[in-house]
Amino acid sequence: MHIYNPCLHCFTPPHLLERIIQAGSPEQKIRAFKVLTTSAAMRGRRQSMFRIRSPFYVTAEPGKKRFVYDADNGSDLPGKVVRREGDAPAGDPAADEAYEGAGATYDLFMKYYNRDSVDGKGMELNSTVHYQQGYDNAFWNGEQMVYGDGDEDLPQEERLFNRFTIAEDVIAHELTHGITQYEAKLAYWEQSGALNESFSDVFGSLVKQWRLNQTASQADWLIGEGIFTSNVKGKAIRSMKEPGTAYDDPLMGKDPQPAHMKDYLNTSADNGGVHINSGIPNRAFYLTAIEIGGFAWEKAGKIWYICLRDKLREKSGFRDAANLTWAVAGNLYGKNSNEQKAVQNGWEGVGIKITGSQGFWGRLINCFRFRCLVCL
Amino acid sequence: MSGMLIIDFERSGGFAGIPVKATFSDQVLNEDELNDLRHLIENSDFLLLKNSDNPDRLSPDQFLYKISVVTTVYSHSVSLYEQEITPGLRPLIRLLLDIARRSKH
Repeated sequence: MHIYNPCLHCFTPPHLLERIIQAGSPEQKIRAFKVLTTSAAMRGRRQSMFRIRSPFYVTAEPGKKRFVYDADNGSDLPGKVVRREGDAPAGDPAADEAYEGAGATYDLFMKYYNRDSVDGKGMELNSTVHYQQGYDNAFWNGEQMVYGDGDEDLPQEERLFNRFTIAEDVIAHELTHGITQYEAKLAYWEQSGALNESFSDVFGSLVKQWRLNQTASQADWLIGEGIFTSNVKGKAIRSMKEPGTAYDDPLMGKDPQPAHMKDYLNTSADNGGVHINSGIPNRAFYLTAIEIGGFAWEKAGKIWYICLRDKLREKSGFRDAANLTWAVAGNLYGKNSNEQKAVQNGWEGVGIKITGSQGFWGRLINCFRFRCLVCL
Repeated sequence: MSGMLIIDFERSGGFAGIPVKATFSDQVLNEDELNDLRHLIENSDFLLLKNSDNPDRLSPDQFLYKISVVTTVYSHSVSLYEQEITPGLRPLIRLLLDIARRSKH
C-alpha cells in the first residue's frame, strides 16, 4: 500500500489518517501525520493537535525497530527512508552507522537492563542522516536522532569535524537523551542538565566498551573519538577519565571540562554549562567503574541505569545523583558492599560527599539546601 | 546600501559544546559579504524576532544562537533556540557561520 494519495491532502477524514498513523508503514505514518497536523493547525483545532501523537511515538509489539532517513542536506525531518529494520546495508556510511549504532544501543539496554527501546515499550528508533549542510552536530529532538555531516562543505584542509555517526558512542549518547526524557526527565540546564549530558556520555561509552568487549581498565573513556578531523589537535570531544584533556587546539581552544567540584564553572552559556560541568559526574562514574572492576556496563552501569530510571527527578543535582546512586548500589549489592563503597569513593573523588538518602544529617543538609520551612 | 554595520554572533550548545563566537563589522567585511548580510537581515525579518523565553524548548544537544546587529539607524539583539530558527533566518545564520569559520583560518 502506498501512502501517497492526493486525496490525503484534501478529503481523507481525520479518523482515517489517525488509523494510518497507528498501523501504516513509516512513510505512510509520517505523511498522514503531516497532513493531520497541518490541517488541524489550519482549522485552529488546538485540541485536535494535542490529541494527535507523532508516528514516532506509536509503539506496537516489542523488539528492535530501526528506521534510517536521509534529509538530503535539507532541514525537513525525518526525510526519506533509506534503511528499515532487517534491510541490507544501504551503502551509505552515515546511514549504516546510524543503523548499527542504534542497534548496538538497543541491544545493550535490552540485554543488561531489560529495557525495550527508548520508551521501554518498543518505540521505533528513528535516525536522520545528512541533516543540513556543514552541520557539525548531532541531537535528539524529542522524537528522533539527527546527525550532520560535519564540515563536508569545506575544503579538506579546513575541515574540523567529520560526520557525527562516525563515533558509535555519539549515537548511544543521543538515544540515552531519549531514555532520560522518558524517565528522570532531567531539566536541561545547570546541574540537572549536566547530569542529563553525563548519563548520555556514560551509556555512550558503555555501548562502545561493550562492542569492543573492554573492561573498565582497558577502555579509553573518550567520547566522540573520530569526530575531529586530523586538522584538530585533539583525541575526542570529551574524556570521562580525564575531563579537560580531550583537545587543545589553536582554533577550537582547550577542552573546558572540570574534573572536580572545586573547578565547577558557573556560566549562563551552554544552558548553564551542561556540556562543561558534565565532566564532574562523568569522572565520578569512571572512578566508580574502575574501582568495581570488570565490565563497566554490568555493575556500575546497572547502578546508574536504575538511578536514572527510578530515582532521579527533573531538578536533581549532583549531590542527589551521588546519594541516589549510593543508595541504589546498597540495594543491589548490599550495604557497605564493595560496589557501594566504590560509588562513594567515585563521588568523593570529584569532591561530592555522600550524605545518604535516609540519614538524619542527610535530611538536615537537604533541609538547608531546599530551605525546608517545616524543619528550619 | 552603506553605513555602519556591526554584528555579534554566537552559537553555543551542540553535542560538542564548543562555542562559535565572532564579531563582524563593515570595516573588515568585503563588499560582497556586506551586501549579502544586509540583504539577508532585511529579508529575514530580523528586527521582528524576539528572544526565546522558554528554556524548555531546547532539545538536548541543539544549538543556541545569539545575534546582535547594530547600524546607524537601529540596534537589535535576539537569542533563539535551534528549533525556533525560521526558514527565512536560516540563510543569514548560514552566512554568519561561514564567515565565522573562514575568519578562524
